[in-house]
Amino acid sequence: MIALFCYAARGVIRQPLQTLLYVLGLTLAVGLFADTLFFVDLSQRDMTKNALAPVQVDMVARATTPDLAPNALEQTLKGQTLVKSAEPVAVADFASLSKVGAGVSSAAGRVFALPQSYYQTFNFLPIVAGKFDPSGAMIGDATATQLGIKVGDTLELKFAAGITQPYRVRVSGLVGMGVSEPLFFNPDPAGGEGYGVVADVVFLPPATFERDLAPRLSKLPVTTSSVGQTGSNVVLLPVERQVHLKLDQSGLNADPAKSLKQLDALRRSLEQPFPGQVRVQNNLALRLGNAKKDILAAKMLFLFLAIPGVLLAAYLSKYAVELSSDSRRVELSLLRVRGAGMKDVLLITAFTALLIAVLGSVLGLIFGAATLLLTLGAGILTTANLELIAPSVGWAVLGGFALTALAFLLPVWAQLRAEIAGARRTVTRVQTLPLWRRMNADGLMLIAAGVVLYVTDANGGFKPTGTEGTAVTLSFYLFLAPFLFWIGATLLLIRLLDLLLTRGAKPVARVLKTLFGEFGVVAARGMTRRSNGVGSAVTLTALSLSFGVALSLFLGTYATQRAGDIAYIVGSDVRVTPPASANLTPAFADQLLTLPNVKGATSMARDPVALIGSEKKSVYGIDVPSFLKTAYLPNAMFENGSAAATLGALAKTPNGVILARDQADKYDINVGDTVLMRLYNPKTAQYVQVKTLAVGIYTYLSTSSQDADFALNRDFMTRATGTSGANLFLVKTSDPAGVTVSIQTQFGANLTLKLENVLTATKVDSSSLTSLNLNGLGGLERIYTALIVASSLGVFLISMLQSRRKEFGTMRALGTDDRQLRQLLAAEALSISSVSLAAGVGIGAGIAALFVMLLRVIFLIPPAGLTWPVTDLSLLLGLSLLGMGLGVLLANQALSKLRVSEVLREA
Amino acid sequence: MTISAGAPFALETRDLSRFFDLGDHQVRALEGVNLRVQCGERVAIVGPSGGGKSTLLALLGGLDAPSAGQVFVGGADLYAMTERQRVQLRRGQLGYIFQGYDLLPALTVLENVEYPLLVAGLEPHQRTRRATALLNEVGLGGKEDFLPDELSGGQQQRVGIARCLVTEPSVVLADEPTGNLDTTTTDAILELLRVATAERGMTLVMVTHDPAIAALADRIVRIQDGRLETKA
Ligand SMILES: Nc1ncnc2c1ncn2[C@@H]1O[C@H](COP(=O)(O)OP(=O)(O)OP(=O)(O)O)[C@@H](O)[C@H]1O
Ligand SMILES: [Mg+2]
Repeated sequence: MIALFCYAARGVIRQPLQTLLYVLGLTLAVGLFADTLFFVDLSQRDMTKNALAPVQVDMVARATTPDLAPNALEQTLKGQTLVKSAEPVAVADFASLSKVGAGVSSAAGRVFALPQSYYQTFNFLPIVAGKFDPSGAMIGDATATQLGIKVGDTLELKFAAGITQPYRVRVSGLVGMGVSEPLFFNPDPAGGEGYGVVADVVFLPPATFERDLAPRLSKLPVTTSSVGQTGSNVVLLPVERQVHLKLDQSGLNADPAKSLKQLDALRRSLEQPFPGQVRVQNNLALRLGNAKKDILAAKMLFLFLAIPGVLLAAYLSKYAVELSSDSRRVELSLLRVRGAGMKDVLLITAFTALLIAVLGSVLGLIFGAATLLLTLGAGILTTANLELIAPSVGWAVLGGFALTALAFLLPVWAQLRAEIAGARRTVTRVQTLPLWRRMNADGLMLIAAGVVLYVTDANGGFKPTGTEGTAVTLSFYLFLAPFLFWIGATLLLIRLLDLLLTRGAKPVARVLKTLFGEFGVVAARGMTRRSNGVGSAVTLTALSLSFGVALSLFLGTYATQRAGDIAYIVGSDVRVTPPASANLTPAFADQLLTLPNVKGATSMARDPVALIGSEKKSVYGIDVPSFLKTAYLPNAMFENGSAAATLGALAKTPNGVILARDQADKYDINVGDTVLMRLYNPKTAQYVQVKTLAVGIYTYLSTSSQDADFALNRDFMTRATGTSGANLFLVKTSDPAGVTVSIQTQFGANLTLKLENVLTATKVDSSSLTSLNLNGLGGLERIYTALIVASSLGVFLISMLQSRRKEFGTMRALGTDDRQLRQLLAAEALSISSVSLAAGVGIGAGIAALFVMLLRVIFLIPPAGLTWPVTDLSLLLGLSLLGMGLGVLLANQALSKLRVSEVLREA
Repeated sequence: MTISAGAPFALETRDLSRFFDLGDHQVRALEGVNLRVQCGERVAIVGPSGGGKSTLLALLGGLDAPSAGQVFVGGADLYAMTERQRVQLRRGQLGYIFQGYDLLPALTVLENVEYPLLVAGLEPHQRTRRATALLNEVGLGGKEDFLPDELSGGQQQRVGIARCLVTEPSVVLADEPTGNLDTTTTDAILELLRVATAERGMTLVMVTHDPAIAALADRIVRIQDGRLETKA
């Protein structure tokens, strides 16, 4: 046993070149596999961070009984680990709100008692006018506008039956409610609706609340209400006491699964001191659950992107094993002469395989680590990261062993069995077709890919899942179609090549003759009569290229999609939102235009409470000429396929309206129909009815992340409502960061502007799969593509030269000169490379197209098609061609040095 | 020996040596060989295996490079020439026949015979005419479109002979042309070779193991351990 192992080890050491050839492919395969896994591991941190970013209130502790002392909860929670701040919140409902002395009053709303520190700890409640005052109240800005309430006015609250006395308090400030959802977030534990946003809100200082309202409101009866889809009963306290927690998120594990456990432990430890009295709502957990699913999806996506490369690299090893079958035959007979039995021989090869697997895995990991460091920088070397990738190291080694078994052990054993069984192959003239061809596996695979695609599509598998905050569910079937396509297309390619080379010998010869003269014909004969070898060379090169092409196309399209999605969210390059109370005019857009590097600026009016029938809709007023120049308007967003045509029609029709597809469906509106709507005039607090004409339909309109249901001409809208019509501004620029800064310095002193740009904006309500930095992965996989293409070319050339030495030697003896030999090689290389190139680009584009379908699931705006990253692709193809050219030169060099006498000695 | 001026030998070697360095030791495959072959002469080279026969033949044909000494073909110093000139010589004056036939496997019988003419730059119709004529002469008329693999060993060597003769070389070098063939086939091939070269007045240098074959030659040259032992 040990002797056999030593024999195997000596074999590995004694033939370093052979060992190198076996190990080369494996090293690349393991490296690529490991790097892909590592990359996902390292992306976890970003994905988790991205998933958690929109969460404002990390946890909410709610008292479920009225008898809990107001301060007890807050005091206990404050000291816990991971808790950064704990803000006490008291909540009660009111029946109506009005300005003292005015006629209008609001619908039912809610009072929040928040300490001053709340506004600093959480930044989703900006004070847009006035200030926090311990003796006054603050109200939501929209409510203030609607009821005509200003700082200094006195407001009056009425409560539910049982409390007859209204409550009056002076208004000290206005709070912007634009992003206030976290305040209300209260998911039904049994599933269902997440937000319970209340439109009209009053904020009181806790002391005031406890003194003036709490004693009276607490006397109201406790009610229960059935909520959600399950209709579970929820206890409603007249005064609800909560503590909003902000956690130290940096203390959470980067692996969402682990941080979920961490958070769950924290939740339990928070509830534990108050058995049955407190329920803790874990807002982070929801997002983390999604992140976990997203990471799984990303892993699948990356692996499927990398699998062709991994398999190809492994195939290189198998190719090398095939090439060395002759020398193995000699070695085998030597072993048998020395009395080794079948078992011994199999054991020796098993040991050899083991050594090769260990060598390949170790080298692969080293190589993978090196390329990773090269592309991502040394900054990734932290203990936390090492801990993250540790399991993947194991997977990569396991993969290395599996690939060795596939690429080395099985083919070698198959050969040995055949040898020992005496079934030594001589030249077989009668060719039996391989099993897959007899079964037409290529066609079947392609059909299967089509069927999977169709079924997945029919079942809505390619529809965006992107409702707020949900994880993308990338079903396994989404990956199945590209995979089947890849295998099917590869087999089809082999079949077609075989057909071309066997049936198409004459035309091939004719083409090559016109291109390369007489030696083209010799090359054609050579290739058509060596169809197997040429076929595998073309297949190997084509597949390597298709891998690179598919990746490059996918990454290019992903980048376009990502940029597009963000531009859509922002509306253009920079978005400026003044506070509701600022009363800016469209002239502010002209001021923005004067800033350096600004290429366009437009102002937009927004009415979030317009009415169609009795339903609230958000209606925008746009200034078409400047909007066209400024906003992000891909044609794909418009149903008639043209942004200019749709907006042009709007500009030409003063009372025109363009609307979203879902609204058109809902109200059965077609272009040419009259649409009646009521716009809100904040000055008079009255609705104005307008008659508009539908002139266009869009799927998306770049206005803001809030849906634009309808868009009118701004002038029409301001005339109807009497408002200035400048609720937000879009700016187009080539330097979003710089322009953001200059807007802030220029205007920020007098105005609290909310500034967003394409660089800082993240898609809060979408999957973290859209925010992956795929550039790193792109760089990584590019290195592998180049190496795989280069190695397959190298192995092919070496084997070609090796197996055809005799032929070339004879040719030289017969007076063939260097130039003629070069012509021959060039003709062969050019035919092989052009066919490989065409097939590679074709298959690559096919796979990319299928993968890009996945992006439809992930991104908001479906990709219109593939993005062809021209530089990237030409670099890839150029390098491959260069490699082939270099290969021909080297081969020519080697051939001209060939000693004919030596070659002819070889049997 | 004296060199008669104006009538150069078809082949001549002067102190020809070929050594192979095999790392730890050196193989002296040929050492100080002086051989002269007259125009139209038929010479058989015989000797034990490993004696250096193939090495000598390769050097005579310009397919190797000597460690020392010179080879003259028609009075011209073969290894003082440029590679271009040597190529020209291979295309015109020298013809080879190999033990393993060494036909180009991807080309048909006709294309194989045409190949030396193609390399020399002849027009297609000329090539085909000459190659077809030679194939008929070697008895392979009708087999033009066969691939080498589809022929017997004897037939393949006939193709090899046709391919050698098609360029009308003045010197034919054959290294054990019948080494892989049975006796009947051998006789036929040798007869073909003898007649064809004699008709054309070609010089023939042939390596063989077989004394019976050697007897067909005008002269037998023995090589042992890299040295020449000339007889008559
Ligand atoms: N390229 C080479 N490298 C190393 N040694 C060589 C080489 N070519 C020939 N030799 C050696 O030179 C010697 C002469 O070889 P050669 O092939 O000329 O003999 P031969 O007489 O043709 O033998 P055979 O009758 O077996 O063909 C042998 O010892 C051989 O091993
Ligand atoms: Mg020999």
